[in-house]
Amino acid sequence: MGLISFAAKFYDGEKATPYQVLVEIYRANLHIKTPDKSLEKNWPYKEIKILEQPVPPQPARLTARKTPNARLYIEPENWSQLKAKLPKSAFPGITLSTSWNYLIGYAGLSVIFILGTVLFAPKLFEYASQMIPQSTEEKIGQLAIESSISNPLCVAPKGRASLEKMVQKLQQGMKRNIAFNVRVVSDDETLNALAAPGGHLVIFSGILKKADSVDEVAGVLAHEMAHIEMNHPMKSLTRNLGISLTLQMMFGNTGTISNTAKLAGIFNQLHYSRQDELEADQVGQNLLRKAHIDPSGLGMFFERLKKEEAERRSGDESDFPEFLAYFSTHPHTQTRINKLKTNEIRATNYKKTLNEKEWQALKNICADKMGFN
Amino acid sequence: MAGQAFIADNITEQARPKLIQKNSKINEITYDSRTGQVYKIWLLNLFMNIITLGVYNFWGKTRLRKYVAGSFSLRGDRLEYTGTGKELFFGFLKAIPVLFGIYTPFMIATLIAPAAVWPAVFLLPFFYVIPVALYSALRYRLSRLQWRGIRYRLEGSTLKYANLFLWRGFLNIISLGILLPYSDIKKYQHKIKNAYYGDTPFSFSGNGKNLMGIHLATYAIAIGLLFIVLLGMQLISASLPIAEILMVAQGMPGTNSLQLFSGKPVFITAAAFILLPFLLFSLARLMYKTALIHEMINNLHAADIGFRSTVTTIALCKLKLGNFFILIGTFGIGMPYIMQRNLRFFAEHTQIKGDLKTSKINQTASQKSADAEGLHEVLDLNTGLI
Repeated sequence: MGLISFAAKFYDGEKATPYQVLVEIYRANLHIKTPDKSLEKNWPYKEIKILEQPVPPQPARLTARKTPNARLYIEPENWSQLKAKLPKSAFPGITLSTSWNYLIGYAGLSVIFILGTVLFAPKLFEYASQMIPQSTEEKIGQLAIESSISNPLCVAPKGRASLEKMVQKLQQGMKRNIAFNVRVVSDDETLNALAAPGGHLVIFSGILKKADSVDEVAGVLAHEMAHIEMNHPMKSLTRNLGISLTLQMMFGNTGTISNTAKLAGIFNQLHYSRQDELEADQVGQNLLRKAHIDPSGLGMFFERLKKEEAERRSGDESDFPEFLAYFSTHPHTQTRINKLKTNEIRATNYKKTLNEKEWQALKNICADKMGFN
Repeated sequence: MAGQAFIADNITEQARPKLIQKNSKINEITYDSRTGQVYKIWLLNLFMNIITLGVYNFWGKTRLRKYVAGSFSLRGDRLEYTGTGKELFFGFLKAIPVLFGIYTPFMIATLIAPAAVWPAVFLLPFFYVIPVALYSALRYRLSRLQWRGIRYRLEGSTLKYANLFLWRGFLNIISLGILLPYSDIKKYQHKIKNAYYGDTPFSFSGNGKNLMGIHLATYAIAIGLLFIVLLGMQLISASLPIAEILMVAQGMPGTNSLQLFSGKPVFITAAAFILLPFLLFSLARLMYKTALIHEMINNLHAADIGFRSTVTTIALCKLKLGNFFILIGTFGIGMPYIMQRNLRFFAEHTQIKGDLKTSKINQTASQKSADAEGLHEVLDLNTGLI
């Protein structure tokens, strides 16, 4: 019988003494011995456990089930002779291959996963917002408003009454039944308004001050109410949270790569944020129409916003480049104006939102102020 | 049949006969991993983490550790990492309720009593998270590392280490960093005193005092350089209006001061005043770092075996600068290469002193590792986060 044998390294797992051994392959067992036979072991094949297969230049690492601390290290070039003899039970579980063919396969799969995340995950996470109870939504909105507003509120009673009237008119066209909480914040420099979950709306007094007509204010209000009608605040919350969590899970803390992924995630969020804005413009327009209010007010307000933006950039009349809109939460103002104009339907039965007296009362809503809390 | 391992051993000894004869007690560490293989494992982990939403991470990390550890050898005897992905995964699962238990009281406290004493009290456990995780991660990794079939291990209380860590951090702050060498050495000493190779304890005879000279010198340089930086900033702000006045005087009104700022000698001077000191500062601190490594390694012992570091400030500087440029130049794809550079650097600059053929270390017996020991397990979060 032609005996196969080769040199290997053996550690008994009890003492840190290395043994240079000769390994002999028999029919049912492995014979391990030092040249002077001071150490001799018999490992039946069914007792052997492969800890690691060789990755050149690293050896194969074997142990025996009865002496799990003992180690037999076999050089890669001798491995194939022994490998054939070992039963299936000796081999470790699944080990993913690192050959280039497999790696390319995994790369392809991960691209599919990333694309799937980009295409389907946002809608999926938006859907999750419906599972959040109304009371929680209300609390989140309250918290969001409290943490972002520090200026006093404008609470002149007549102004409040005008505001309530306007909200009621616009609410007629809405499908969702929501108790709105509209606040005017004393800040004449800010041309902005906010919508938070739970029907919390904030209008900065700058809008009342700069607006030429009540229709412009109604336009802004309708836009913000449309955000609530479409559940945008909660949708964007669950969407952003979901996407960033998914990316965090996919890329972990791999340094620059995970940062790149996070950046891509932000661009994705911005894209959806702009879509929400355009949708709110359109739905807001419908709300105005249903309340028999001239829907061109919102467009007029944007024209004003555009002028204001230009003035802020030291009298430079030219608009900021359109591509910069990709870095923004809001679409390019001119784009919004154009979209609004194409959706406009000429009609004549428009009614004044508020009479002149009520409009003046709204403009003077900041005559009475109170602290936010 | 000639033994492959014998041959390999003979070749290394024949290749450096002079070194062996002169200095038979110096053993070099070999690191023979292939960068290509490291890249393949790294890429596999990257893709699989995407596909499994990060769950594969524990197994991927283990695979990389196994390969890297197995690439280190001393006199033909390789290191072996015996950890498993499952252990890391369950460690992570265990860590979640613990972290939740720390976070919840804090959240409740802030809601019930905002800006009061209670939130601050409940904030305290957060400080412990990092040192506890550091020590228990080291404990886990050492217990899964073996050489010649004998495991390493780390004893000692995790909590005691965390206390020391926080106390030294506090001292570093109130001493304005002057006591830093003592802190660095004390923390290291705590780990070494509790580290074992089988039943052979490691010992450490270094002292923070030996580092005070180089520390204070480089500290003084740092303060001097900070002064220059402040001077440089002063120079920029002072020179701007002067330059503007000159411009106006030459009949060039309305020049935007920001435009003047860029691309002018003023800017270059300012950059030199800020960037150069920063580079010099880093270099000065690398001198301290080098001294620290020498103090740590050269005073480390296990039985009759000693350790020696051959790190130099220049070599360390080259390593760090290279790593920095690879990192920013490759957008993260160079990470495995940086890892390889660091490990190779360690192997190249660390030597083992002592005759490994006759050393007492050969008589080291295995010791049951401190794996499943009550409190250890509760506080030892093998989270795989670190």
